Amino acid sequence: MLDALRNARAAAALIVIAAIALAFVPLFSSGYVMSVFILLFANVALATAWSFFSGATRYISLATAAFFGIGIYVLAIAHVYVPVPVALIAAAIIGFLVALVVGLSTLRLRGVYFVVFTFGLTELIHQVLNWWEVKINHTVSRFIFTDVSNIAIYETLLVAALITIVGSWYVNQIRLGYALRAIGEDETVARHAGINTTRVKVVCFALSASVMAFVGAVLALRYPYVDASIAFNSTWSFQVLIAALLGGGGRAWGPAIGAIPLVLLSEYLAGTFPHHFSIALGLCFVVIVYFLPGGLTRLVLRLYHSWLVPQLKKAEVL
Amino acid sequence: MNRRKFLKGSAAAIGAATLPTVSAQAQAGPDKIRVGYAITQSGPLGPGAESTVVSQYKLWNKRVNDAGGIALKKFGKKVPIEMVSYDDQGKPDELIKLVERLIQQDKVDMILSPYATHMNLAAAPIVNKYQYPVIMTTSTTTKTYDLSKRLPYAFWQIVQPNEATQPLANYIGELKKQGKLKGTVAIVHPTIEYGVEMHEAFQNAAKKAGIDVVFSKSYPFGASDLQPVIREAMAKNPEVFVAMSYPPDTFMLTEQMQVVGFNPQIMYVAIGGVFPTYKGKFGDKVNGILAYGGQDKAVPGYAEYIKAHQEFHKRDSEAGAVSVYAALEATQQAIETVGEIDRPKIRDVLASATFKTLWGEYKYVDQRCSSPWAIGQWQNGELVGVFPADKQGAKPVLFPKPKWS
Amino acid sequence: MVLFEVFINGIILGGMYGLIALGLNLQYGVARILNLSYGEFFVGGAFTAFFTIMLWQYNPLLSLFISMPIAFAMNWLIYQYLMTPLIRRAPDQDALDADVVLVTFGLFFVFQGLALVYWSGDLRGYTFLSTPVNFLGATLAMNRLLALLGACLIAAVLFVILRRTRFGAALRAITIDPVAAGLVGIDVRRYSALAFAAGGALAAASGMLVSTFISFSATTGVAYTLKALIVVIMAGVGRVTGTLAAGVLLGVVEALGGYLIDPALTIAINFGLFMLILLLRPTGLFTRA
Repeated sequence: MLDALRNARAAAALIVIAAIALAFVPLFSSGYVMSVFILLFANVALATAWSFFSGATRYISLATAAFFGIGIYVLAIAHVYVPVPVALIAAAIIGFLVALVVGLSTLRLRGVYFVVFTFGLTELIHQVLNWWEVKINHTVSRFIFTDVSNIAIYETLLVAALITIVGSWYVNQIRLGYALRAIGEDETVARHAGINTTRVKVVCFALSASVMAFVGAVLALRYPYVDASIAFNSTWSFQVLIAALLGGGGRAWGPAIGAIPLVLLSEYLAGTFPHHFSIALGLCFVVIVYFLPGGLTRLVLRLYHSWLVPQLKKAEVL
Repeated sequence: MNRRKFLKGSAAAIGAATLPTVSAQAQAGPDKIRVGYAITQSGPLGPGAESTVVSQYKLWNKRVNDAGGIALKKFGKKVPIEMVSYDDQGKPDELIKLVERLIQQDKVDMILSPYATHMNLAAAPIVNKYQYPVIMTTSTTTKTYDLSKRLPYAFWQIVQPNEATQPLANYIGELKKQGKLKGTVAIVHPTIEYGVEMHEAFQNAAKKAGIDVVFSKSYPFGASDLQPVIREAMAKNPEVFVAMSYPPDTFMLTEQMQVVGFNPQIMYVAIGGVFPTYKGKFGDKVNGILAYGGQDKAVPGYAEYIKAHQEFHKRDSEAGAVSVYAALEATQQAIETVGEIDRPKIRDVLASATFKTLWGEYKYVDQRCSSPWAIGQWQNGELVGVFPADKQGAKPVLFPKPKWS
Repeated sequence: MVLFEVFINGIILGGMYGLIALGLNLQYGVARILNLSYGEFFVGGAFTAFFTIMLWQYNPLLSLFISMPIAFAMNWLIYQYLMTPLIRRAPDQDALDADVVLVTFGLFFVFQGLALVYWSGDLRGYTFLSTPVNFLGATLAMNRLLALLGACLIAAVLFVILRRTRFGAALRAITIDPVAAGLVGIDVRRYSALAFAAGGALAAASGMLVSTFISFSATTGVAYTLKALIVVIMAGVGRVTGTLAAGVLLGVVEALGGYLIDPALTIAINFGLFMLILLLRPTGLFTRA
């Protein structure tokens, strides 16, 4: 118990220090380095939000791109009429509401049926939105011209990523978190234990979707031009899924541990082997699965317990 | 090559920000010109990017270096090009990041355009911010008319929807006046920005030209079967069939029109209609088909170009690719006029000088190519430019289009 | 009359959907491996056909003798050497699925990358049997008809094998319960490997047949993987012969919907139908409740 408390304190201290250090990065870095960090934070937030629902309940969702795209579109439409911060919040709220409706109708599907359904949902929204734009607005694209600086985008996403991680950690500590995990273990048992499984699932699915919509809306500030195929690009869904799987489940910081190396690895491979990028990335996946079972979380925990803790004990820190 | 690795690079960048950058450039001038581009290589837009743009970048790189490089008269020597390229995976945020990477990490001297309208539009504000003059080669949108003033470093190469569709509508109107046609048109388009804008532009032009659009329907990009749409269009018995299509549909439409025996007297397809693969697939049946883009094979330098193209890529070139190559020639001529890598000066030359290229002689007026080819036609198995009709090298239209088989 | 032709066209289109999904259902239904690199074998079949006709000037159908054995062998190897270790170590199906998704997604990247390097990203297409055929007054393209016939033939052969042979009985037993099948003396791993390999060979065959009327490139594979997956889920995992029926349903609804409502909505109608079926019958059309 004491150990756990000490660990939690150490983790909290680490997060605070990292956050403060990261907040000052824009003062020293070029636009490119900031672009990488922006993508990094976006991926961390998305993967954490994804894992918050899908990791715990084992409902593997490919609808990330759907909510992300809704965020982009809300911003693209709203930024003309209202200030950008209002548009961002509207995106999160609309993402939440759409997910409520979707969740109520679909969360009785399980396993691969749910996976493919959520993929289909993304495509359906994409197609219908596109059709509506063509029929009603006689265009399929929207321009986004704002004077939001890269630094503001950077800091917003940093905060969003941190709130997502801390929020996800917090929920894991309270009743809602136990209920979520109980559903992941065995839904029938959870229901018999008196958990209102539908309510828990739908609320958490919607919370996770609101983060995705928000991140989409913030990133959209960097797109001068959007259309439905950009907004609802399903590579986002896959990328987030893979980051979360790579990180491994069970911990709030797991998806972040997966997303960070994935973004950096892609960046490194794209720079070093631009024409063999996808081959190298693919081989990395294969290697990770065979040599890092359980994801990076397990590796980090193992290193922590088998190496760092003895070292610290030896140094009489603990 | 010595491309810096990201981690090392970002650390160096953080360090370097506090130090004044020392120019390592010797008095003798640079020993190479680094040219960078980020373009879509994977994903649905990959094929088009490869065929129209990347192939030309590679060929230009080879031909320029074989000739000793780009002449920098300030240093009195020719300097070879070195290319740096990345895959943007068709994602605009990836593209924005990579363009910044090219400018800040790789410190390239010049940047070349990405592929497809939306990607060009995403890149334009970034290169403008860092003052890199770039000729955007594959962007067609009426919105560029507003962008020219906002983004002085972005240039626009190919024909925009209004100019692309007016000549066709006017030509049909002319035939109607002469009594050769009643002027009935069917038009289809995919629901992507390009298709929608071209469709709107054609509808407007048709109204002005006094021709009669009897059928207009859209279909989703990536549809697996277009026969029902073709059947519906055919039922209206139009004399002219216009498809504002994109590569996969352009092929499918052409094939399915043959299957159902739809023989309009004028047939227009948009992107993909000028590809060598198009002729490779349909052979002599392409004769008489009008398509987006055009070229004149009699321009000086074309014979050498096509010979080098055949040797390098083992296949024929196409009109769209030629327009990209022309943009590269214009860029090179602008650099050589300035005689050093001074991007604001290169920008000013691009905005004012006249360029002699594979696309003929032209200027960039309001940063837009002054006389781009609008429409080409397959005649005797060769693609020739037909519109604008007053452009040098334009051929008369073959009318009516021969029936399939 | 037009409506009839649209209907027939829908059946033909649906035959194509069924065709590309048959192999995946064999892989996922019997071997329980969700192979995200499935579409790459489809692309391999299409390219082999393309080179056969354009480079060597033979009938593209002959390319099946090259592409199917290669795809069979590659998929067999993938199952034996990449999937078996994962199956051995996985504590449950969920954990296995996560590993399989990562590995086959990785393979998809590797194969697509190799295809891009060796075949470039160019769009390819060729003309083969694009002659019109008159069927009760409806005009059909011969090459599309051929794909439908191919789909029927493959489905019929699979049906006979599954229902009339000992081998098929073993496969069906594995589909229903692999553990129980192992207990009654069926060599689950060997049969699963064969089913997986056969699924890959069918992917190549469908790629060849579809390439006669749809142009393709090194990067089109993933779109077909996803399309196939949708048909498989609609039919029900493991319902190999129901796959064709599900595909045809999808094709007919798409064609009629496009004609009666708006052709721009065909893909939306496609996904709408799929989602409706999932909500009404969460484990597929052809599974027993």
